[in-house]
Amino acid sequence: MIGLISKDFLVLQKLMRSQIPILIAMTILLTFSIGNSTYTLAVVCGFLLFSSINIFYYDDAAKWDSFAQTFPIKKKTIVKARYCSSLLTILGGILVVTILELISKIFVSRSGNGVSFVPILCVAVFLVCLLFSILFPIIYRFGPERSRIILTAIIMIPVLIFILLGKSGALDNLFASLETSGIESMIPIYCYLSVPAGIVLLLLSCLLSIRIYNQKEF
Amino acid sequence: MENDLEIRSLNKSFQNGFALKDINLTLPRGSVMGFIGQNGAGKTTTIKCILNLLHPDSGTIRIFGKEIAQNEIAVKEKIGVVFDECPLHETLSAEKAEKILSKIYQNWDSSLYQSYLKEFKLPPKRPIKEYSRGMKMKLSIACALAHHPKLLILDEATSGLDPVVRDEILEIFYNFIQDESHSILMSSHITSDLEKIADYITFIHHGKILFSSPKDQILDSFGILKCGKQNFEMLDPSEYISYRENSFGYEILVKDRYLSKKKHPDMVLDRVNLDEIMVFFVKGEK
Repeated sequence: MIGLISKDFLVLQKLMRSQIPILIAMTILLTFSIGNSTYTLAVVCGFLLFSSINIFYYDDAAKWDSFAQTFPIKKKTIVKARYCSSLLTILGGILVVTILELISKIFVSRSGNGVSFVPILCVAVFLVCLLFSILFPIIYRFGPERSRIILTAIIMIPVLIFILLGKSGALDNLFASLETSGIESMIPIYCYLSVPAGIVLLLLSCLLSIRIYNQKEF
Repeated sequence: MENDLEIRSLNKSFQNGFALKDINLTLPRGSVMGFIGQNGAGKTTTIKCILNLLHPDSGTIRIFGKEIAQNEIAVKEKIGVVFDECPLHETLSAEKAEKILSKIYQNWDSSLYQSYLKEFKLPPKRPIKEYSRGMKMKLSIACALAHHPKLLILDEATSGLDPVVRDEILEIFYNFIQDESHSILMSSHITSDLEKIADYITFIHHGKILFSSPKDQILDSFGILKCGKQNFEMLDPSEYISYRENSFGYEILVKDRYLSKKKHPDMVLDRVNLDEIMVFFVKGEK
């Protein structure tokens, strides 16, 4: 498994080397223009998603999967390695974002009304885990090329629904009812619980992916 | 004699209508088997079934006396595989490929891998995308040999290579089988390579094995009889495999050229090569 995990990072090395300076530049821009580096989280989430899905495309282009079947390892190990390398990528993302946040706090004074960093980080991690949990089995089932349209729909449909709800005013009503219900005070707890929830989702997704991969032919 | 590979009654069908039908194949230990056939005949499909990349509908496949499905890890530790294209990511280098593969194979031999890189003149730090086709193939072979496999499976490994590189690669395979505990299953269109190195030849056509015999026996027993129409009509159909008509007369692929020579001493009877046998089997008339 270690060989396969190291393969993922070796393949992504070049991509990461070009992305990290962009990340740092965007953090500096956002921090100094908005006074808040939390939006960097969105950039990091996008990067994590992009790089983890790209690995599937790179493997497909190299016909790596057929070659991997000739290794003395079980199919489930190949799937587990992919999930492990994705988890490690998430951990790396958390580290990068936390460092950027700490650095930005030194250089930029924040107003008191700013959103707390840790709950938002937890929610971001949950969202990334959720997307991985949905996307990976789809890619294993349909292959990277055929799953492009499905992946686009999975990402775009919730965004479109969110925009439509926002325009219709339904979201304003929802937020107002949340304020009055007192649930707002519990949001930090939900945020902290979202990380273990995300990991549980990944585990379940891994089991599904193993099942799909075991039946696959190459 | 022990067999490194035994396939019995292998069947595999696909939705597009293609099927492997009742494949039987035996590769004795210490030998080289050439696996020949047209494009789409079933060579790669058979190899994929051997490696458990495809799930057969029925039949058994034993490697080193063990069924691969039940002993996958132990068996694959001793197999080296070379496909027609280098399956390593182009952004990787030979050095990085070793970092990956050395953690996968228990018997990975780093000094052996390095010696192959030196022998093949492969720059270890250069990205694979900057390698020529011949260099990529040599790298694939280095990766396949560096973990001391007992069985080498090659699927069109020499296709698209120039004669000089092919000769170098054949030399590597020849050295590999000097150890009599090593075997090679090699699918190839380049029958001249197989005539140099193979001990056995298996011919597959439309998913069926047409023959699987020692190479020398095949090349010695088959022959091409050349005659005119009158003599052709006198021939016993059971004597030949197929014939081809041309402007000079008839060319007939006979099963036993010594017997045919005795029966038809006045007819021209030539030795045959694997290319001609393939063409007669596929395109000849019966």
